[in-house]
Formats: sequence, structure tokens, C-alpha cells
Amino acid sequence: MQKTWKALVLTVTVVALIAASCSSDDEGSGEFTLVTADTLTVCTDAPYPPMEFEEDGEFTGFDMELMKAIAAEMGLGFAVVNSGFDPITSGAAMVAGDCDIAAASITITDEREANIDFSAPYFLADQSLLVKGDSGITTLAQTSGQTVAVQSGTTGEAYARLTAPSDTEIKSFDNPGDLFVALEAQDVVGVLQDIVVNQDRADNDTTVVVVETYPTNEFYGFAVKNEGSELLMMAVNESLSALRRAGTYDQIFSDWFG
Amino acid sequence: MKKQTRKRLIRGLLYGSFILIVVVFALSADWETIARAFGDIEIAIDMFPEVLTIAAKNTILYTAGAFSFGFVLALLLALMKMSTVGPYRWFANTYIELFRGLPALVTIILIAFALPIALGVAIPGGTLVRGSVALGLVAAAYMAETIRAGVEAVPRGQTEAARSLGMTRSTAMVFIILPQAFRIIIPPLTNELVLLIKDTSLLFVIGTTPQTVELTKYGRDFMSVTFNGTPLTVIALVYLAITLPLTRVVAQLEKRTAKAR
Repeated sequence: MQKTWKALVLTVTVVALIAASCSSDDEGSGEFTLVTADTLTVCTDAPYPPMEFEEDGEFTGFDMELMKAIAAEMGLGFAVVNSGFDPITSGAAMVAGDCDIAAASITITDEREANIDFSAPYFLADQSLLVKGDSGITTLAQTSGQTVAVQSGTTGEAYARLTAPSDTEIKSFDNPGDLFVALEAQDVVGVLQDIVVNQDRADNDTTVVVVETYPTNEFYGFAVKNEGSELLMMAVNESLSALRRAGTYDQIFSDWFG
Repeated sequence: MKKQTRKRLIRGLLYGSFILIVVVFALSADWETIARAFGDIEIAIDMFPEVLTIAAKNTILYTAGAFSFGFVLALLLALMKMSTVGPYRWFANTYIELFRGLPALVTIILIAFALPIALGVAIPGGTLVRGSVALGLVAAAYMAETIRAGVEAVPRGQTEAARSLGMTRSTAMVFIILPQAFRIIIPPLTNELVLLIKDTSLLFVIGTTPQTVELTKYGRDFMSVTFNGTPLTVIALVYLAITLPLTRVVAQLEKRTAKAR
């Protein structure tokens, strides 16, 4: 009886100690903890030109260049992981330690606030519809009875579900690159997503054209996990303000959209 | 008609219908479009050398990592399943049922995201470690059964002889049984290796960097910027270049083991 009692007390103590040591906190000395020391590791969802895409083995684009400037302002190196959109908006990528922060044209919404924390807004965008020039479609209403492509988990998908005709099939794709491929393969008649991305495609491909823009007035923000990244977010916001004051933000903006 | 004539007629019909189908397909396919959409030489050349030096290299690395981890775990599980200790048998059985029943993709997502979130600690080592662990867990479930079957295929006489020479059960297992079991299970294990090579195509969900990207993701990314199917053809050929020699080796090994019997 005594032996069993001792064993039980010992087990409970050990378990309690383990549980106590498992609680994570990253405040400490006012420094923030990074996934890789002295490097700002950024999650993104590429290809999404002109915001984030790969060129010559490196990620570039407006989001990436702005993040690079912020990292430089914070005195940190820069690394990118292409993690996909859903792990970013759910916060899973940041919580699992894939990256410190996400820059992927993420629209600031209340639903997303439940899973991730946003930086100060850094970009304004609207939704738009891209179609093949010879499709004869000029409005979303005309996609009735046909299929429109959207990216899953995006505000474009939400907008399409709300606004498109009820007999338009909304097809959701995981990978943003697949949207244009689907349009090219005539799997869908239109792509509904952010205007900057659709316009970039239309600028580079004369066979497609942006036919409608929807003034959804969305703001993009950088995202971190809900808990444990408050100091990092403060530093990022400070750097962003510094870049705006110094004119660096405008420089990068005109580089990409000037 | 005579039986022989009927047989000849049927065989003739089978040959003829096959040739007919091939000819119809060859004539009706739009070869020009297919060549353009899947055989663009310029795009194919553009993919080199990265498709080999980065993408193929990573695919092989992840496969090797998953196979090594999976094999060690499978050995452990097989021994647990044959153990006399009840809880070990129970654990091994549950593990095998669980990981054979889940799609590999689900397991990868669980290990890459759910596990670190639950434990509050990130798994270090990036895609190589995470991918190897996730795929290794899946492979172990299948290989454990193969190893167990191999061990049980070794004649009981071997164990009995070993024991009667004074060896303990573990010594007999390690030095007598397992080596013989391995010779039997090398063909199915090599099959498992080929399956693992193909399963690495699911690792894109973990997140990729230009240096850690594997073949399928590399091909898909190339496709979405070129709007052409040639990258798919290229990575298909690279996959075959990796898997076909392995399946040849398996065929040879199976022939040799059959001869040795």
C-alpha cells in the first residue's frame, strides 16, 4: 500500500513539473524571440505577382521588398518560406515555428483577427474580375451558368460567393498560380481576386483583360500569431513608420506600381 | 469450325483490335498542340540544372530521411508486435492501424502543424526533418508488417537451433533470425522505397523555400509561370529516372531470392 502511494505521489510530481515547464513565454528581457536568430523569417503565398513571386531562386515582389526593407531597418537578415495561404490565415504556420511573420497580401478582417494579429495597414486594394478577351464577358452577372475561379480562404472567394449570380459555379483553388492556369485551360471563364494581381496578369498577357473592379476597400496587413509576438509586431510597426517617414515606402511603391 | 481455327480467329481479333485502337488514337490526337503544350524544348531546358541540383536532390534526400527513420521505427514496431508484453503489442497494433488508415497527406499536415502547436515547440531541422518524420511515421506502419512477415517466414527450426546452442531469445533474434528475415523482405522494402519517393510529392504542404523545394512543387511552380505543361513532362521523366532503376533492382533481387530457395 505504501509503495503504491509513493509511486503515485512521485508520478504526479513529475507530471506537474513537466506541465509547468511546458508553458511558453517569449517576453523576457524586452527582446523578441525569432525562429532563426538575427533573421526575420517571413511566410508568404507565392506565386502572386506583383506582390510575391519567385525570380532566379529568390522571392521578390512588393510585399517581399517592403519586408526586406523592414528587416534591414530592424537590423535583421531576411528569409522566406512559401507556406501557402491557409496556414497563414489560421496562424498555424507562425505557431508551428515556420516563420516569425507573414506577408502575403493578407486582407485585415475581423474573422482573421481571431487567429492572427495584424500590423498597421500597409496597402489598399480592391477585388476585380479577369476574363479572356474573347469571352464576351464584361460583368460578373454575365458569368451566370459558368465557372469562376477564386483562391480558397481569400476575401475574393467570400466576395464571389456573396455577389456572383446564384448559378455561377465558384471554384476554389489552393495555389494562387492555379487560377491563371485554369483560365488558360478554359476550365473557368473568369478569375476573381485582388486588382493588383489581376492587372499585373493583364499587363503581361494580351489575351486576358480586367473587366470589372469592385470597391471593397481592403487593407493588407502583416500577420503574426496571436500570442507571443507582441514585441515583434511593435518593432515591425515602428520600422514601417520609419520607412514611410524616410520616403522608402514611396520608393518601393513607385518601383512596383509607379 | 474447328477448335484450332476458332482460337486463331480470336487471337487475330485481339491483335487486330489492339492495333486498331492504337492507330485511331495516333491519328485523332492533335499532336501539334500536345507537342506545344507538353513538349516545349526551351522551357524544358530552362528547368535545368535546378530541376536536378535542387528539386531531384531534395526528393532523394527526403526519401532517404523518411526511409531511414521509418525503417528503424518499423523494426521497433515489428518487435513490439511480436512481444510477449501486452501493452507493447497493443501499442504496435494501434499505431499500425492508425497510420495505415490515414492518408499520408493528413499525417504530414498533422506532424507539420498540429503537433508543434499542441506541444508548443517547433520541430527543428526544417523540411528535411519534418518531412522525414511525417513520411517515416507512415512508412513505418507499412514496413512493420513487412518485417514481421519476414521474421515469421524464417523457419522455426532456426530459433530452436539457436536456443539449443544456449543463445538467449534476443541474441537469437538479432544474430540469427533478423539477418535471414532481411534477405526475404528486401524486395517489398524496396517497393516501399519507391512508394516513398512518390509520397515526397505531398511535402509541399509543409512550406517550401527555393532551396528545399522538391520535384512536384518545382514543376507546378514552373507550370504556373509558363502556362505550359512541359514542366510536368520534365519532372515526370525525372521521377521515372529515379524509380525505374529501383524497380529493376527489385525484379533482380526477387529473381535471386527465388533461385536461392
